Amino acid sequence: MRIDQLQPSPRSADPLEIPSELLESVRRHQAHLSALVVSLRAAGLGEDVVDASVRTLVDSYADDLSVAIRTMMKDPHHG
Amino acid sequence: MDDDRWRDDEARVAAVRRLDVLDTAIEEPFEKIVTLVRTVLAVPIATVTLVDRDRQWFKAKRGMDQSETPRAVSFCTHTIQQREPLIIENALDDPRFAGIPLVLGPPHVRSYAGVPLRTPEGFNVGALCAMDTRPRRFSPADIAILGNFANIVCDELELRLIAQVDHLTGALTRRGFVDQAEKEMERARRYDRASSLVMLDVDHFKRVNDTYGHAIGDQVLQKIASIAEVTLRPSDLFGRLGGEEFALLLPETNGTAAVIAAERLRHEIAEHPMTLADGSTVRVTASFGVAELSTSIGSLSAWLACADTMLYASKSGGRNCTRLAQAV
Repeated sequence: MRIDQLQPSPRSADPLEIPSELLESVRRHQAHLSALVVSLRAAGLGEDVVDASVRTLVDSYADDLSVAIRTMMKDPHHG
Repeated sequence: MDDDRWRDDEARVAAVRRLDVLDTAIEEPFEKIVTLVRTVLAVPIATVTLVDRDRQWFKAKRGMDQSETPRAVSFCTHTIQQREPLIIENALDDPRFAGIPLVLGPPHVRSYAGVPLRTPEGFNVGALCAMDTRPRRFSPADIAILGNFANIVCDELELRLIAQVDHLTGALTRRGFVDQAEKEMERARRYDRASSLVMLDVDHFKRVNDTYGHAIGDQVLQKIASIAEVTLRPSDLFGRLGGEEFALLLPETNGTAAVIAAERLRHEIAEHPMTLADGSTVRVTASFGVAELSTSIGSLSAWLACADTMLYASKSGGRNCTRLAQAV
């Protein structure tokens, strides 16, 4: 899985492969985003607010994920 | 998590500090989350709060001028003592909060909803909080949304932590260890507290790899790490500096006590043959070098070099032993 394959797709993300040690955490984050969408809709928020909120979160997460992966790539004892 | 560990605040504080987030700069993901909480829940105040031993510190905040407050007069010290969200509809009606500065003075909090931020190990390290300046009833939908945002805060915190952990052994990476050790060194200096550094290296590790193969060598490193994790206190730092070399930083520990800790670990490693995944056993030993922080040590690299010199002395002295640097 690559960063640009996160759902929803980040607006700007390098197509970095996500290391196996991060995959579980990334999948958990994806599940949490899905749960947030359900909660926001259940609270009666409009689709534009829901979409903007989730997109904001996935964009910043993708940035952080890129930093984490690059940090791990620099460390010879990862993986 | 069992009930005893749940109540272990020292271990919880150690978990907070392992996150390495206290007193760090503003970071966009957390800023965005508190902004969204404020917008979606229509509250004037939202915070990502970490609860340290004696204070609560805000990693991100909206509608709050303070960067931290004493823990004793916080909402969050109560939030982290439960698994469910803490909801206060009117702080003036609750004797725990009616007299605290955040209620009596700016920002004049009247209602509060906080969801614990729980680490994968089960420690509540802080809370995601939504606060209003008027009494308010938070709906189940509000709390569900806040809980979802809290999970995402935890994901962000975990992401930073994973990037600092060596995947093979679960110890901190060299980079992660150095980052956290520098903070501990600064803390020990500021408060004039004892602190000791221990370096350990597996003896004849090349022989293990050559005899049994690298897969078994990796299992040996994992076993050493698991023995160390059991032996160490929650506040101790444990990192893999490279290859078969590890380091431990023991806060509040002088050199003599650090040697006792190192010897305990050395005995555990030497006296327990390691049963590998295939049922066979491998016996290994390790050598240790110990250096207590002293005024003559000007940097972490100098401290590491001092412990490394003692490690070399242990190797030269026959291996499977511990040497302590003389205080100067």
